[in-house]
Amino acid sequence: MMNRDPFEPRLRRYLEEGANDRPRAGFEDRILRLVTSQPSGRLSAPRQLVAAASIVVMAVGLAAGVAYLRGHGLAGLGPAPSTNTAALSIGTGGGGDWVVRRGVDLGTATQLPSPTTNVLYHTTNGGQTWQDRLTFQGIYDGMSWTTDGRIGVLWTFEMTTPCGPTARSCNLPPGQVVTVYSTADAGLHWTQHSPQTFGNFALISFRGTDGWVLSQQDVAQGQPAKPGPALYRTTDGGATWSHVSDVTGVTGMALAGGMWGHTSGVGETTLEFADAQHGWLATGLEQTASPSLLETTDGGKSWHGVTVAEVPAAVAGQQAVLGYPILLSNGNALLPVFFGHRTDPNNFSITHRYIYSSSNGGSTWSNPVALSANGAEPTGNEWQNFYLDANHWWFTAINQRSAGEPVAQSGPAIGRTTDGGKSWQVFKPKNAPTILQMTFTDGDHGWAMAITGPDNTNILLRTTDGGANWHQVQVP
Amino acid sequence: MAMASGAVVGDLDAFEVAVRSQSQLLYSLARAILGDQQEAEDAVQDTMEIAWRSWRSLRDPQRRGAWLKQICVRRCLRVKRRLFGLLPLSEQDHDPRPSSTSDPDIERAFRRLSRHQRAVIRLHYHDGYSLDECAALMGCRPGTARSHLARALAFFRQELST
Repeated sequence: MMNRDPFEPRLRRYLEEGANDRPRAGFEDRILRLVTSQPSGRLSAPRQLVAAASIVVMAVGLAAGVAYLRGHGLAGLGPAPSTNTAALSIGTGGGGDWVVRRGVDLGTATQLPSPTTNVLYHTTNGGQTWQDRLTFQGIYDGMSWTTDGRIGVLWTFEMTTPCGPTARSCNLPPGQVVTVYSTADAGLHWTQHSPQTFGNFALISFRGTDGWVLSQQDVAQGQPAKPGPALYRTTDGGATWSHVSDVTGVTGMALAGGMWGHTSGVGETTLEFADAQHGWLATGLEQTASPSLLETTDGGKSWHGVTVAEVPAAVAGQQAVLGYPILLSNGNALLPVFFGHRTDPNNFSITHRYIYSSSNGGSTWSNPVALSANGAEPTGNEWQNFYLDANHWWFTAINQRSAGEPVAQSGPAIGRTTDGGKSWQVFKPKNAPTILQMTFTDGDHGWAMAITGPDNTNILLRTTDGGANWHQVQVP
Repeated sequence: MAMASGAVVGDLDAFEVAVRSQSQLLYSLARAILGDQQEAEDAVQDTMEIAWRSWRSLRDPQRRGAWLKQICVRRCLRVKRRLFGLLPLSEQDHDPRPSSTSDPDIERAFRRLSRHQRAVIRLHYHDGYSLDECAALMGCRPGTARSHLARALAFFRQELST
């Protein structure tokens, strides 16, 4: 069992002190006066100018949006929250026809978390009918399938047990408990494997039944945890795990405690393996100081930094952060590379995004293509993307600067290319829900998990025209 | 008190109850994330304005607390991006809380975290949310919330060991 950080009690005490912070006297009365006496947007003085402009924009947008939605099948997605809020995740790697209705519901967040029962559903007809294939506990984290769709795994974390009488008294368990479920018959039957405890903040990657876990601490069952990251491997779909290496001497993981982390703007740190020997770890660190992408060719025993040789003239001299490889079929792979500069230890301000490609399984990377076209480019640190093959890519959460607009406005939108980034289409339905997750089975057919309404209700969307139009699909 | 168009007496009563019961909680949350008294008050006021506009659409009163908290957290995390339309800027805010804290070292380190990191620390360690729930409140993926927390804890370790 691992010890908690010694500063954790101090941190909790500090937060408890801060919870007693109070606004100035009369604050609630001021809010009630300001808010409830506004018949139609009479806001506090500093906001009146903004509000006036917003009302005009909203009125035009609403009219256009209603007209658009009536013609495009999204009219039913109003702001009213569903009384049956579900937390959804789309399964990827299995053709996207898998959906997990997650048991963690925001509505229960302030109460004692009940057992988080999740249900895995499958459809073979675009969501007209669903079959429930697995009911499982814990917090769903991901799934992976072989290319023939026969063999799959699904894994969960246990994060909030044991709990006391209220949610506030819940603690992280010492270590990350991962449970893997596997199937060998396309999801008809599943086997639950014994939970395995890893160090905190484990990164998990599966390719068929081969799986890897990179954890913050080296945890041997029944032994005290050792500091520093460790890599574990399973070859039987999570039934048994073995320690591969301690991942020592990696300068790219030079943060305190051998920690990897998140850098705002450049996506997530991710572990990815192409096969038993060849894998990558995206660290989120910039390339000039330390490798932002680490590669192993011996199954994780040793790691080295990855560099890209071709740097576009537009970004010469800038720092670069490499994302993680997107592995396609026939040895093709794509690699997002972010150029810009670090504004502080946690934020990397991106000026350009490029996609590099590889035709040798990720051994070398070349031919950078700017991820920007028609004045549109992804923005924010939560942009979602999906790469079907070397030519069909999608991304969401974009900025599109229009004439006379001083600052590009982001909003729900989808950019699609069918020629490997040479040209782009931007679909920007008014009042469309915000897409958080997106997957496509071919150039036209895709799924999206989106949020809508004031309580961010999760909904499942289906497109049959490459993302131009979406309609809501009910999950049981 | 004047009544907004479209609202009914019951709405107003319930809204007033929510303002009086939730404002202090939301304020302390916003101040932890933003690190500034004025910005925190603005954030809570914005939260209540947004909530009031959609008040009648929330049918389940038991979910109001979580709903308000989600609006507030996202408003706190969004504010600079909304103003500048850019990626998150340097987020080391400057508003020394009157030194009532018993642990200035922790406070100093906490203030140097990014807003996302402060948010996940506060929501997870004080409010008791799982990281999945933190992600839902913050509007990001669970893996991102986990990474924010990991980076924040690494920073604490580094700062407090020197």
